[in-house]
Amino acid sequence: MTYVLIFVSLAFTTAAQLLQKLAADRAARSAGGVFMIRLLRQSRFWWAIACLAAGTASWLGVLFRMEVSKAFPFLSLGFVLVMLVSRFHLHESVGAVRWLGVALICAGIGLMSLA
Amino acid sequence: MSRGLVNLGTAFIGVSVVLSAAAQLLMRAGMLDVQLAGLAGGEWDMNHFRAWLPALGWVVAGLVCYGLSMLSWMGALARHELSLAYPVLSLSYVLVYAGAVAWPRLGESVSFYKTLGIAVIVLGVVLVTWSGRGAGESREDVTG
Repeated sequence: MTYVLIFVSLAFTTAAQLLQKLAADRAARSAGGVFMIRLLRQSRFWWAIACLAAGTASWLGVLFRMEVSKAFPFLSLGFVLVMLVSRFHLHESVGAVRWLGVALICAGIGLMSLA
Repeated sequence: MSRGLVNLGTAFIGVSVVLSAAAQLLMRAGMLDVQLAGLAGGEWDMNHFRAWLPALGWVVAGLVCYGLSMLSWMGALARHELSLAYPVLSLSYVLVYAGAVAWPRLGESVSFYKTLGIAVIVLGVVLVTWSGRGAGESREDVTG
């Protein structure tokens, strides 16, 4: 159950990043007013905030059932999910060096949770 | 738009990293004060309220930093690829660790594995930013 909740939380956080990216790109391309005003007009921006709230709430639910040091390593999965979404949904070119960098970040998060 | 050493999009990423780390540290400080206030116990009166006030202050300050960090993040995402910018956010773990050790109020201790983990994360971020050299800041219509 706790593992399902972890995945739900990571899915919401990843969706929030995707929606924020789409909203920022659309706001940058749209006309009228400063960037912030154009951003607030994007429905995706408000969906992103809803996903952030849901992601945070479900993560608190995880921490309620699991020690921080046990839950912490799962955060590295979030980085992998965001990379996959960037590559396959946003069609960004993610090369070997960038993947290696993300792998090191995940390893570093794993090491930090050993303490 | 400038193509200096530190362009606007990169500066926004930096501001997001610092503010999100500050948010974590402030909320942690608030939670420690909540524990202190909880120990006070007793009737709900003005004294009780005064005991909770510092905790509330820290948490609100943390939430403000969190909100500002998110706005700065939008400026960063308008100028950089998600797969380039997002991994750099992991630098906030480095700042949270350093802050929790350096700030006497939190007073956490240095550990070998955490320090090693921090070094590996920094190395990873260096590789990610190196993979994005020359990218970003190509858009001319982003203002404010």
